[in-house]
Amino acid sequence: MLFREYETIYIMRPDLAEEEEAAVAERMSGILDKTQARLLKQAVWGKRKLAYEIKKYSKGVYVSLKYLSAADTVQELERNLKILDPVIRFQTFKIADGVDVDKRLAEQAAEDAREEAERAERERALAQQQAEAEARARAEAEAVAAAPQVAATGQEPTTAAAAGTDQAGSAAAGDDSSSEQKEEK
Amino acid sequence: MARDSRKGRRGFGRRKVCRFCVDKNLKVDFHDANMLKYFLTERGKIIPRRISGNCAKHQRQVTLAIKRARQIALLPYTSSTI
Ligand SMILES: [Zn+2]
Repeated sequence: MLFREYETIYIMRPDLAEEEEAAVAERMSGILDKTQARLLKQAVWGKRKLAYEIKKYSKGVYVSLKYLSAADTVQELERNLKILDPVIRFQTFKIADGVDVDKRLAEQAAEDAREEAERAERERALAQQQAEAEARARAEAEAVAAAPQVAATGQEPTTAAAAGTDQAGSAAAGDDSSSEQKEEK
Repeated sequence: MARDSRKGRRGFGRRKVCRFCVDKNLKVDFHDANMLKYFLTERGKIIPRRISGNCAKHQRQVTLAIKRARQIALLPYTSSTI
């Protein structure tokens, strides 16, 4: 069966309760089901700044619906979006003509899986970074704790003393700047 | 910038090439407002391809993408600020 691929993006008022946003989404997915459309992906982009004001709002909540359907689905979606009060703007874009439904659904599933894998990889990398940073901080703390012992053994006493004064100096400088900032406020 | 307009030649400036032809991985996408902003003036007008260097095919795609992004307020029609 050959369908068209569409993407409908609608923008809702920024001052809605979660249930109101969910109600709109539910209504949309109901229409997709009723008209035998196949949903590819629903993506909530969330609250964004609008490039220009719409009905006096400068922010809006974006939702994108990608689906495969015949033209009647678009008509029905848009008829509903027009009468829904929370929706301040909507637009449907035709993405492709004569789409092979099964093939496209499989492609989308593969894309979702890839994105999920990338997200997991990013999280893993972030966790590793944090672990490394913590390990570094621990190592530094241990080095500081070990420093007086080095001085006590008499090895390079001048450098140890110099480092001590340096740290004191920088700490004092830090105090100065913070007090200045407070005064400015 | 300074353009050499003498004798109708555009001087010895480097010939601009289409970014989308150079980088095949780069796709024109109306969702990507940050990328499309590159093809708008400060006032929000579409930069002609003689300036941007886009080829005809990709300029058509860029123009369509900008118009789509404008419809859903991802890009301005005009920008009165600045
Ligand atoms: Zn090109």
